[in-house]
Amino acid sequence: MNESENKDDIGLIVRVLSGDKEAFAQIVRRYHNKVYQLCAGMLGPSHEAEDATQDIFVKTYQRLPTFRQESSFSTWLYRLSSNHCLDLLRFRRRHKTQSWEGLLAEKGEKIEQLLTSRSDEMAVLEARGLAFSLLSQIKPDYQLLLSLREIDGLSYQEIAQVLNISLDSVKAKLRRARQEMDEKFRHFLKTQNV
Amino acid sequence: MNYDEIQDKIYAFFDGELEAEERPEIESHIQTCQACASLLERWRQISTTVFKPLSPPDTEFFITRVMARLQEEDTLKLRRTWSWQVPFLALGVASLLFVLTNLIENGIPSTQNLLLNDKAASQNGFDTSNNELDELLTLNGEDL
Repeated sequence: MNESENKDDIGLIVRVLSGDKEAFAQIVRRYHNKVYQLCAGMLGPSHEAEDATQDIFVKTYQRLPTFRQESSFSTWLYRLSSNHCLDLLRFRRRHKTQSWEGLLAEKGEKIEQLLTSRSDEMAVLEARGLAFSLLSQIKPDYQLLLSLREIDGLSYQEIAQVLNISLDSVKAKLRRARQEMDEKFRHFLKTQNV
Repeated sequence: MNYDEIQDKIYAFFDGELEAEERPEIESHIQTCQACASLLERWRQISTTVFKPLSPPDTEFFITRVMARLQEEDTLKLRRTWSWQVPFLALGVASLLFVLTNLIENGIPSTQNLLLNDKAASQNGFDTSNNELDELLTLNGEDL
Protein backbone atom coordinates (compact mmCIF):
# COMPACT_ATOMS: atom_id res chain seq x y z
CA MET A 1 0.00 0.00 0.00
CA ASN A 2 2.61 2.57 -0.96
CA GLU A 3 1.94 6.17 -1.88
CA SER A 4 2.62 5.94 -5.61
CA GLU A 5 0.29 2.93 -5.93
CA ASN A 6 -2.39 4.93 -4.15
CA LYS A 7 -1.80 7.89 -6.52
CA ASP A 8 -2.28 5.56 -9.49
CA ASP A 9 -5.45 4.21 -7.89
CA ILE A 10 -6.83 7.72 -7.38
CA GLY A 11 -6.10 8.52 -11.04
CA LEU A 12 -8.03 5.42 -12.10
CA ILE A 13 -10.92 6.25 -9.76
CA VAL A 14 -11.23 9.76 -11.21
CA ARG A 15 -11.45 8.20 -14.69
CA VAL A 16 -14.05 5.66 -13.54
CA LEU A 17 -16.17 8.41 -12.00
CA SER A 18 -16.12 10.31 -15.27
CA GLY A 19 -17.53 7.25 -17.02
CA ASP A 20 -14.42 5.35 -18.18
CA LYS A 21 -15.21 1.69 -17.58
CA GLU A 22 -11.85 0.50 -18.89
CA ALA A 23 -10.25 2.27 -15.91
CA PHE A 24 -12.36 0.08 -13.64
CA ALA A 25 -11.16 -3.01 -15.49
CA GLN A 26 -7.64 -1.89 -14.59
CA ILE A 27 -8.59 -1.63 -10.92
CA VAL A 28 -10.01 -5.17 -11.06
CA ARG A 29 -6.84 -6.41 -12.79
CA ARG A 30 -4.72 -4.84 -10.06
CA TYR A 31 -6.64 -6.14 -7.05
CA HIS A 32 -8.57 -9.26 -8.01
CA ASN A 33 -5.94 -11.68 -6.70
CA LYS A 34 -5.70 -9.98 -3.29
CA VAL A 35 -9.46 -9.87 -2.89
CA TYR A 36 -9.80 -13.46 -4.08
CA GLN A 37 -7.18 -14.70 -1.59
CA LEU A 38 -9.04 -13.01 1.25
CA CYS A 39 -12.37 -14.49 0.10
CA ALA A 40 -10.86 -17.97 -0.28
CA GLY A 41 -9.30 -17.69 3.20
CA MET A 42 -12.66 -16.73 4.66
CA LEU A 43 -15.03 -18.84 2.58
CA GLY A 44 -12.90 -21.73 1.41
CA PRO A 45 -11.67 -22.79 -2.00
CA SER A 46 -15.08 -22.85 -3.65
CA HIS A 47 -17.22 -21.13 -6.24
CA GLU A 48 -18.57 -19.11 -3.35
CA ALA A 49 -15.17 -17.40 -2.99
CA GLU A 50 -15.14 -16.54 -6.70
CA ASP A 51 -18.72 -15.26 -6.59
CA ALA A 52 -17.94 -13.20 -3.50
CA THR A 53 -14.92 -11.67 -5.26
CA GLN A 54 -17.18 -10.69 -8.15
CA ASP A 55 -19.82 -9.26 -5.82
CA ILE A 56 -17.16 -7.22 -4.03
CA PHE A 57 -16.01 -5.60 -7.28
CA VAL A 58 -19.58 -4.81 -8.30
CA LYS A 59 -20.13 -3.24 -4.86
CA THR A 60 -16.83 -1.36 -5.22
CA TYR A 61 -17.95 0.11 -8.54
CA GLN A 62 -21.30 1.16 -7.10
CA ARG A 63 -19.76 2.69 -3.99
CA LEU A 64 -16.82 4.47 -5.64
CA PRO A 65 -18.63 7.83 -5.51
CA THR A 66 -18.65 7.50 -1.69
CA PHE A 67 -14.88 6.93 -1.46
CA ARG A 68 -13.65 10.01 0.42
CA GLN A 69 -9.91 9.27 0.34
CA GLU A 70 -9.75 9.20 4.14
CA SER A 71 -7.60 6.09 3.71
CA SER A 72 -5.78 4.59 0.76
CA PHE A 73 -7.96 2.92 -1.85
CA SER A 74 -6.56 -0.54 -1.07
CA THR A 75 -7.41 -0.11 2.65
CA TRP A 76 -10.92 0.94 1.68
CA LEU A 77 -11.23 -2.05 -0.68
CA TYR A 78 -9.93 -4.48 1.95
CA ARG A 79 -12.44 -3.05 4.45
CA LEU A 80 -15.29 -3.50 2.02
CA SER A 81 -14.10 -7.06 1.21
CA SER A 82 -13.67 -7.95 4.88
CA ASN A 83 -17.18 -6.81 5.76
CA HIS A 84 -18.66 -8.66 2.80
CA CYS A 85 -16.89 -11.93 3.69
CA LEU A 86 -17.72 -11.60 7.39
CA ASP A 87 -21.41 -11.17 6.58
CA LEU A 88 -21.38 -14.26 4.35
CA LEU A 89 -19.44 -16.28 6.89
CA ARG A 90 -21.70 -15.36 9.81
CA PHE A 91 -24.74 -16.20 7.72
CA ARG A 92 -23.23 -19.54 6.73
CA ARG A 93 -22.24 -20.40 10.32
CA ARG A 94 -25.76 -19.80 11.54
CA HIS A 95 -26.84 -22.58 9.19
CA LYS A 96 -24.06 -25.16 9.19
CA THR A 97 -20.79 -25.61 11.02
CA GLN A 98 -19.13 -28.91 11.71
CA SER A 99 -18.00 -29.21 15.32
CA TRP A 100 -14.32 -29.71 16.11
CA GLU A 101 -15.13 -33.11 17.62
CA GLY A 102 -17.08 -34.11 14.50
CA LEU A 103 -14.24 -33.02 12.25
CA LEU A 104 -11.69 -34.92 14.35
CA ALA A 105 -13.77 -38.09 14.27
CA GLU A 106 -14.29 -37.86 10.53
CA LYS A 107 -10.92 -36.59 9.31
CA GLY A 108 -8.44 -36.89 12.18
CA GLU A 109 -5.92 -38.88 10.16
CA LYS A 110 -6.09 -36.52 7.20
CA ILE A 111 -5.63 -33.51 9.50
CA GLU A 112 -2.47 -35.08 10.83
CA GLN A 113 -1.21 -35.67 7.29
CA LEU A 114 -1.88 -32.05 6.41
CA LEU A 115 -0.29 -30.49 9.47
CA THR A 116 2.77 -32.69 9.39
CA SER A 117 3.43 -31.70 5.78
CA ARG A 118 2.55 -35.11 4.44
CA SER A 119 -0.27 -33.51 2.46
CA ASP A 120 1.59 -34.34 -0.77
CA GLU A 121 -0.14 -37.67 -0.40
CA MET A 122 -3.45 -35.85 -0.65
CA ALA A 123 -4.99 -34.24 -3.70
CA VAL A 124 -4.31 -30.48 -3.64
CA LEU A 125 -7.98 -29.60 -3.55
CA GLU A 126 -8.65 -32.01 -0.72
CA ALA A 127 -5.74 -30.51 1.24
CA ARG A 128 -7.09 -26.97 0.66
CA GLY A 129 -10.58 -28.04 1.71
CA LEU A 130 -9.26 -29.62 4.86
CA ALA A 131 -7.07 -26.61 5.67
CA PHE A 132 -10.16 -24.48 5.33
CA SER A 133 -12.14 -26.79 7.65
CA LEU A 134 -9.43 -26.25 10.26
CA LEU A 135 -9.53 -22.50 9.80
CA SER A 136 -13.33 -22.59 10.16
CA GLN A 137 -12.94 -23.86 13.70
CA ILE A 138 -12.05 -20.41 15.00
CA LYS A 139 -14.26 -17.32 15.32
CA PRO A 140 -15.00 -15.46 12.04
CA ASP A 141 -13.24 -12.33 13.35
CA TYR A 142 -10.08 -14.30 14.07
CA GLN A 143 -10.35 -16.05 10.74
CA LEU A 144 -10.46 -12.66 9.03
CA LEU A 145 -7.51 -11.37 11.00
CA LEU A 146 -5.38 -14.43 10.22
CA SER A 147 -6.36 -14.37 6.54
CA LEU A 148 -5.33 -10.71 6.27
CA ARG A 149 -2.01 -11.44 7.97
CA GLU A 150 -1.07 -14.93 6.78
CA ILE A 151 -2.56 -15.05 3.29
CA ASP A 152 -2.67 -11.43 2.13
CA GLY A 153 0.48 -10.54 4.07
CA LEU A 154 -0.77 -7.23 5.45
CA SER A 155 1.35 -5.53 8.11
CA TYR A 156 -0.03 -4.92 11.61
CA GLN A 157 -0.45 -1.24 10.73
CA GLU A 158 -2.38 -2.07 7.56
CA ILE A 159 -4.63 -4.52 9.42
CA ALA A 160 -5.33 -1.85 12.05
CA GLN A 161 -6.39 0.56 9.30
CA VAL A 162 -8.56 -1.99 7.48
CA LEU A 163 -10.37 -3.12 10.63
CA ASN A 164 -10.33 0.34 12.17
CA ILE A 165 -8.85 -0.90 15.44
CA SER A 166 -5.70 0.01 17.38
CA LEU A 167 -2.30 -1.56 16.77
CA ASP A 168 -2.36 -3.07 20.28
CA SER A 169 -5.73 -4.61 19.54
CA VAL A 170 -4.36 -6.18 16.34
CA LYS A 171 -1.48 -7.73 18.30
CA ALA A 172 -3.72 -9.01 21.08
CA LYS A 173 -6.33 -10.47 18.72
CA LEU A 174 -3.69 -12.10 16.51
CA ARG A 175 -2.17 -13.72 19.56
CA ARG A 176 -5.53 -15.03 20.77
CA ALA A 177 -6.39 -16.36 17.30
CA ARG A 178 -3.05 -18.15 17.05
CA GLN A 179 -3.30 -19.51 20.58
CA GLU A 180 -6.73 -20.91 19.76
CA MET A 181 -5.39 -22.67 16.66
CA ASP A 182 -2.27 -23.83 18.49
CA GLU A 183 -4.35 -25.40 21.28
CA LYS A 184 -6.50 -27.27 18.76
CA PHE A 185 -3.70 -28.56 16.56
CA ARG A 186 -0.96 -29.04 19.15
CA HIS A 187 -1.40 -32.75 19.63
CA PHE A 188 -1.02 -33.41 15.89
CA LEU A 189 2.16 -31.38 15.78
CA LYS A 190 3.64 -33.03 18.86
CA THR A 191 4.03 -36.23 16.87
CA GLN A 192 6.88 -34.53 15.05
CA ASN A 193 8.58 -33.42 18.28
CA VAL A 194 8.21 -29.75 17.56
CA MET B 1 8.38 -9.29 30.48
CA ASN B 2 5.45 -11.56 31.36
CA TYR B 3 4.46 -14.65 29.34
CA ASP B 4 1.77 -12.80 27.30
CA GLU B 5 4.24 -10.09 26.35
CA ILE B 6 6.78 -12.71 25.35
CA GLN B 7 4.19 -14.51 23.20
CA ASP B 8 3.27 -11.19 21.57
CA LYS B 9 6.92 -10.63 20.78
CA ILE B 10 7.42 -14.16 19.48
CA TYR B 11 4.54 -13.83 17.05
CA ALA B 12 5.77 -10.35 16.08
CA PHE B 13 9.21 -11.89 15.56
CA PHE B 14 7.63 -14.51 13.29
CA ASP B 15 5.74 -11.75 11.40
CA GLY B 16 8.86 -9.59 11.01
CA GLU B 17 7.16 -6.84 13.00
CA LEU B 18 9.69 -6.49 15.83
CA GLU B 19 11.74 -3.34 16.21
CA ALA B 20 15.37 -3.93 15.17
CA GLU B 21 16.60 -3.46 18.75
CA GLU B 22 14.13 -6.04 20.09
CA ARG B 23 15.13 -8.86 17.75
CA PRO B 24 18.38 -9.97 19.44
CA GLU B 25 16.62 -10.22 22.82
CA ILE B 26 13.86 -12.45 21.44
CA GLU B 27 16.28 -14.52 19.35
CA SER B 28 18.36 -15.34 22.40
CA HIS B 29 15.22 -16.05 24.45
CA ILE B 30 14.03 -18.59 21.87
CA GLN B 31 17.40 -20.33 21.98
CA THR B 32 17.16 -20.82 25.72
CA CYS B 33 13.41 -21.38 26.18
CA GLN B 34 12.17 -24.72 24.83
CA ALA B 35 8.47 -23.78 25.30
CA CYS B 36 8.82 -20.62 23.19
CA ALA B 37 10.91 -22.40 20.55
CA SER B 38 8.20 -25.07 20.24
CA LEU B 39 5.47 -22.44 20.07
CA LEU B 40 7.28 -20.70 17.21
CA GLU B 41 7.93 -23.96 15.38
CA ARG B 42 4.31 -25.11 15.72
CA TRP B 43 3.07 -21.83 14.34
CA ARG B 44 5.52 -22.01 11.44
CA GLN B 45 4.10 -25.44 10.65
CA ILE B 46 0.47 -24.27 10.84
CA SER B 47 1.23 -21.18 8.79
CA THR B 48 2.80 -23.10 5.92
CA THR B 49 0.20 -25.86 5.80
CA VAL B 50 -3.08 -24.06 6.52
CA PHE B 51 -2.53 -20.66 4.92
CA LYS B 52 -1.31 -21.49 1.44
CA PRO B 53 -2.53 -18.99 -1.18
CA LEU B 54 -4.69 -20.47 -3.92
CA SER B 55 -4.41 -19.92 -7.64
CA PRO B 56 -6.81 -17.12 -8.49
CA PRO B 57 -9.33 -17.37 -11.34
CA ASP B 58 -8.00 -16.44 -14.79
CA THR B 59 -7.56 -12.65 -14.73
CA GLU B 60 -8.98 -11.65 -18.12
CA PHE B 61 -11.91 -14.05 -17.88
CA PHE B 62 -12.65 -12.73 -14.40
CA ILE B 63 -12.55 -9.11 -15.62
CA THR B 64 -14.90 -9.94 -18.50
CA ARG B 65 -17.38 -11.44 -16.03
CA VAL B 66 -17.20 -8.45 -13.68
CA MET B 67 -17.69 -5.99 -16.55
CA ALA B 68 -20.67 -8.04 -17.81
CA ARG B 69 -22.15 -7.94 -14.30
CA LEU B 70 -21.76 -4.15 -14.23
CA GLN B 71 -23.54 -3.90 -17.59
CA GLU B 72 -26.36 -6.09 -16.23
CA GLU B 73 -26.60 -3.98 -13.08
CA ASP B 74 -26.84 -0.78 -15.19
CA THR B 75 -29.64 -2.29 -17.28
CA LEU B 76 -31.47 -3.48 -14.17
CA LYS B 77 -31.11 -0.07 -12.56
CA LEU B 78 -32.54 1.61 -15.64
CA ARG B 79 -35.40 -0.89 -15.74
CA ARG B 80 -36.10 -0.38 -12.03
CA THR B 81 -36.23 3.40 -12.51
CA TRP B 82 -38.65 3.11 -15.40
CA SER B 83 -40.76 0.38 -13.83
CA TRP B 84 -42.46 2.79 -11.41
CA GLN B 85 -42.49 5.76 -13.78
CA VAL B 86 -44.13 3.99 -16.74
CA PRO B 87 -47.64 3.56 -15.20
CA PHE B 88 -47.74 7.25 -14.24
CA LEU B 89 -46.54 8.32 -17.66
CA ALA B 90 -49.08 6.05 -19.39
CA LEU B 91 -51.87 7.47 -17.25
CA GLY B 92 -50.73 11.02 -18.05
CA VAL B 93 -50.60 10.34 -21.80
CA ALA B 94 -54.02 8.63 -21.74
CA SER B 95 -55.60 11.60 -19.90
CA LEU B 96 -54.04 14.06 -22.35
CA LEU B 97 -55.33 12.06 -25.33
CA PHE B 98 -58.82 11.92 -23.79
CA VAL B 99 -58.91 15.69 -23.30
CA LEU B 100 -57.53 16.37 -26.81
CA THR B 101 -60.04 14.01 -28.46
CA ASN B 102 -62.89 15.73 -26.63
CA LEU B 103 -61.66 19.12 -27.69
CA ILE B 104 -61.34 18.08 -31.32
CA GLU B 105 -64.84 16.53 -31.38
CA ASN B 106 -66.68 19.29 -29.55
CA GLY B 107 -64.54 22.35 -30.13
CA ILE B 108 -63.49 24.66 -27.34
CA PRO B 109 -66.64 25.56 -25.32
CA SER B 110 -67.23 29.21 -24.55
CA THR B 111 -67.88 30.30 -20.99
CA GLN B 112 -71.40 31.19 -22.01
CA ASN B 113 -72.11 27.69 -23.35
CA LEU B 114 -70.61 26.11 -20.27
CA LEU B 115 -72.84 28.17 -18.03
CA LEU B 116 -75.92 27.56 -20.16
CA ASN B 117 -75.33 23.81 -20.15
CA ASP B 118 -75.03 23.75 -16.40
CA LYS B 119 -78.50 22.54 -15.31
CA ALA B 120 -77.97 23.42 -11.71
CA ALA B 121 -77.07 26.96 -12.66
CA SER B 122 -80.13 27.17 -14.94
CA GLN B 123 -82.40 26.02 -12.14
CA ASN B 124 -80.98 28.71 -9.96
CA GLY B 125 -82.20 31.41 -12.34
CA PHE B 126 -80.30 31.28 -15.60
CA ASP B 127 -82.62 31.48 -18.53
CA THR B 128 -81.74 32.11 -22.18
CA SER B 129 -84.87 34.14 -22.67
CA ASN B 130 -84.08 36.29 -19.71
CA ASN B 131 -82.24 39.50 -20.45
CA GLU B 132 -80.70 39.37 -17.01
CA LEU B 133 -78.33 36.76 -18.43
CA ASP B 134 -76.70 39.27 -20.74
CA GLU B 135 -76.16 41.55 -17.81
CA LEU B 136 -74.71 38.74 -15.77
CA LEU B 137 -72.27 37.71 -18.50
CA THR B 138 -71.23 41.20 -19.45
CA LEU B 139 -69.13 43.54 -17.43
CA ASN B 140 -68.54 46.97 -18.87
CA GLY B 141 -69.40 45.61 -22.32
CA GLU B 142 -66.78 42.83 -22.24
CA ASP B 143 -67.33 39.09 -21.95
CA LEU B 144 -66.25 37.54 -18.69
